[in-house]
Amino acid sequence: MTFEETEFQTLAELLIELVRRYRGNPVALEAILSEFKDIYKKVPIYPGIISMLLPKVIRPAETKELAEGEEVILTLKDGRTISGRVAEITPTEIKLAESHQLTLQPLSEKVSVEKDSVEEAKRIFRELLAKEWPSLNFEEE
Amino acid sequence: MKLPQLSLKPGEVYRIEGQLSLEIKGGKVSISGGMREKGERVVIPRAKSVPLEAESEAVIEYTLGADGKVERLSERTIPKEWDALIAEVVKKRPKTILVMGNVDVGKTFLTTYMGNTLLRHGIKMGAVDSDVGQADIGPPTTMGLGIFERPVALLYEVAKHSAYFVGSMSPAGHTLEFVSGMKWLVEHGLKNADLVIVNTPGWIYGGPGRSLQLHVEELIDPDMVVALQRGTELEHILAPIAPQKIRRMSVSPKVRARTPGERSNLRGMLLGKYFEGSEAMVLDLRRVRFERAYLKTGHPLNASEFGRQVIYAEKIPEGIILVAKGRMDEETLKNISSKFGQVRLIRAGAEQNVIVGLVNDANELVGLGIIDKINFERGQIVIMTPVKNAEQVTVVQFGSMKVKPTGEEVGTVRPGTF
Repeated sequence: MTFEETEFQTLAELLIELVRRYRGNPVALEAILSEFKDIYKKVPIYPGIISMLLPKVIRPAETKELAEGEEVILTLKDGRTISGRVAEITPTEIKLAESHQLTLQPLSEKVSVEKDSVEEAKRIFRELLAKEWPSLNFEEE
Repeated sequence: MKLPQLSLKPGEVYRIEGQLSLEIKGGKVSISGGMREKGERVVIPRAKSVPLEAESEAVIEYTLGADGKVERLSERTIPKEWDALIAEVVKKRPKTILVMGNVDVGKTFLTTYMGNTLLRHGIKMGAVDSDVGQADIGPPTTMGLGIFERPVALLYEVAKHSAYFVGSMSPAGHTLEFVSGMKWLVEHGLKNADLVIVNTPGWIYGGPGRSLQLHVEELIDPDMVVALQRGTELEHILAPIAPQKIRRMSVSPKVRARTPGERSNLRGMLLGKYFEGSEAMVLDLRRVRFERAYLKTGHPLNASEFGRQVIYAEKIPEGIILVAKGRMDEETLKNISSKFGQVRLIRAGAEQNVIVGLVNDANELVGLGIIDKINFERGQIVIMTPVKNAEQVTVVQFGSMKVKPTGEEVGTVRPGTF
């Protein structure tokens, strides 16, 4: 095996890891992907810089470190996840503006959707490498 | 007005820091290893400092500008191994030496010191400067070859012999241009000097950095590899290299690391200075060739057949290039793609501020330019450049940076755009 001659592999593996880590957190994913898009547009020639910056988009913090104006994601002890912008901090509360509660609710039963109620439909395709370029679909080591 | 003077005894060492100008009034001193005698004047610019050593009883007269300083040192700052290396070079006469080291370890100063000192032994040294971000020999985005014809205090004063356009401020994503250019400059250097010393970039960690260092060493196949390191930070790069080639050197204690902000400011200043006094050069697209671009490598098509926004169309083996004013609807693009293959859509005006290399028929870089406009209707490219003679330019090499003539970096170019 030889050296990786570009930083593409690092970037691809990083994106895979970030998507895995934030699978149930669309706000975090949106922030990471939107930063990715912005940084890539500016420095498409430096994937190493993109790889260095993306893990810094979402950072853990203590509640006492939060400041007004910051965009935050809070995971609560009851399991809920709330996102928003810190509007005010009191000794006992963090007040959020532009806030959302994130839920990823599994639906175990069959669900009926009226066709007329569908605004837009998208199909999801997976295992594209195997389907479109089978000669490169090597067994994983 | 009487200027301050210093009377020096043989062996005394000073650090002189710019802004400063001095004249040797008597005796001999060495500055950055280069011998200077009575009557010679030396100017050190701001934020640069060099060692001065008295080679005999000597008197110097000096003027200090902003931040200028003259500081007596208790001992030499040049590590002993550096002089041992030079003695070995004088004895064995190698043809090529590679200098490796992390950023800010003083590769440039080692090169300057060696070039000056070898000149005292009658050996003419060429130096290849591969710091494309803030090249001492040639402007940023290029690698340069300088020849030590006379002593210099700082490497940028060395006589510039040739330059090679890499097109970016870093070898990242440009390693092919980088190694080609390095080889080209070394070969040119060996035709004009007894020895060529090559400064490799300070990119020593990670796959791409390791790969670059390894393949540069393989391609140049130097007689010696000088490893300039503070501790053991280069050992992983040195591991595959034949041990008999390697000379490990310690870093001069006076080397100061630059912050990323200082590096960026310096780059902007150097580019701004290079483009000072630039004028518009108009080149006929039928006469000049493009390099490192898809454009002008295929067959032009009738642009009007692709919609009124399209001002240029060209068929290439990979598909089609369209240059369009305004947006094109997806349906039209899909139809074009089904007939011609992949569509490379270039927004008209996207070429503005792209840095380019201007090359002559002998494949020599005659200067840099900044694209102002490609006028496809008239078949012209307008380039802002300090190069005066348009006739000598036969090739335009596309780079990956967007800069203004003031030196301000305003963006990068996605590979494959043009």
